[in-house]
Amino acid sequence: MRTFNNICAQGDVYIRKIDKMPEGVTPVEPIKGKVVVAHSETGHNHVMLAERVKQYRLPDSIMDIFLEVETATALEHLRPHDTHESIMFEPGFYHVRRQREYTPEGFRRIED
Amino acid sequence: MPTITRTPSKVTGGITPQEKQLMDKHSALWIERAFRTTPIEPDKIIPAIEGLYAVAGLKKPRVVIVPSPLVMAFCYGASAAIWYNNAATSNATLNATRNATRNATLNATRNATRNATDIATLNATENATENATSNATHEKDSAKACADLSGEFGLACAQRWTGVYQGGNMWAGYESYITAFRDILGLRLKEHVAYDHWEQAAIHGGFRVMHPEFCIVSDFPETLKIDDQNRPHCETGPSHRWRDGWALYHWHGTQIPAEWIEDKSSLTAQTALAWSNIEQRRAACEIIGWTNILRELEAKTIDKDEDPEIGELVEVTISEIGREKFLRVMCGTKREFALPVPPTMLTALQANAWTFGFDDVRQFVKPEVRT
Repeated sequence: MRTFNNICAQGDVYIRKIDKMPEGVTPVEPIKGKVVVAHSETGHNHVMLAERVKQYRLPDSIMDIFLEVETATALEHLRPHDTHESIMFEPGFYHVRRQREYTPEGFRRIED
Repeated sequence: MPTITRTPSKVTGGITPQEKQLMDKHSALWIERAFRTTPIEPDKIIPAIEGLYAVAGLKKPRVVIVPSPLVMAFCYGASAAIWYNNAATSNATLNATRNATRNATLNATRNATRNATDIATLNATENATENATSNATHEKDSAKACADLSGEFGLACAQRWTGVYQGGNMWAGYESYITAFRDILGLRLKEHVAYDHWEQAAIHGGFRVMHPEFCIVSDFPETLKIDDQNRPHCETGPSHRWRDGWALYHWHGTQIPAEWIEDKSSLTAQTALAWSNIEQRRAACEIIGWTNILRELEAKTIDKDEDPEIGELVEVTISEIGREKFLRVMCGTKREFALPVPPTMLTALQANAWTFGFDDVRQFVKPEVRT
């Protein structure tokens, strides 16, 4: 289990601690008790426990989400092999950026 | 040092070196069960499934054994659709239709099995190119058998098989964990009595789908190839192959298209770098080899950061497109990926920052921790 103070990355997500939640965010419903921080087509999601974290998104962005961690908890990668090590989050607000890649039309979110 | 407690109802405090030794043997046993390739034994799996339904308070189901998870999914779709339609038509006629439905269930299995088996037999005499297309053929034939029996509704049910499946021996990790508490640490709970049926089903069966009327259980694969970390992997053929011929291909745990292995000439450096799924793209690059990719695409290094997790910015030539830039970068699991980045990128750091949404590299801060 790793810890951090301000900025960390787990696979294709980059996370920065922020002072407060931005204006205009809307809540995201958890799935089966888990907050899915980054969805994977193959089911290898990056998740946190929904009972400890609230998730929000900006209505017009698929690249950014925001977390309100109420009780310390870990960001876990659900893959039985080549697993990204878990990272512990202390209570606070966090901005999560998904990784992107270039396309001739602009960019797309990385898929795995 | 925490106190070690061992009672039938409470197990706490870590494990002793002796228990660790026993657990290593225990996990090896379950790994062996997960990798089983000998045929399923009906006289062992059917009682386990019936026991599972009984402890859940359900009536005795029809247990149907099929040769592969593919056949299982389509048989489930056809059978579930038929049962649903029967119930919707009239509950009063349920008994009268049971026999017909049972036949349909069996026919669904037989049709899909026969088709798949026929193809498997044919495959033995087909050349390598035809073998490479066998997965699509299997899926098409099984889908047709399902559609013939139950129409679009049956196919829609088949697509939802993941909502009602259990992993059998392929979920061996959970079973190893639960049974280690019982068998090594001495935990004895009343729940273990009911769990016994689940455990037997995990030992004696593969994937299964559960329905109030029936349970369809897949046989084990006849071939299961792995790498040194127990990830499905084979460089010369399928990682998994079931007895009906259905097969899956993996590269160090990542599922890949069959043709990348069966017809290696189909996988070019250009195909690899243009592949949309990043994990499969990484696997494709490994199959071809980075040296070959860089040579084939006339790669030129633009900038290389001293930190491999920031990476190397390379420019390559893609036919009919021209020069494109990629960030070749190592992730927290020490695997190498290639990410297309805009042609305006000048340094690896700038490209790495851009991938995380920083158009201005000066605003980018390297993570303290990257996993």
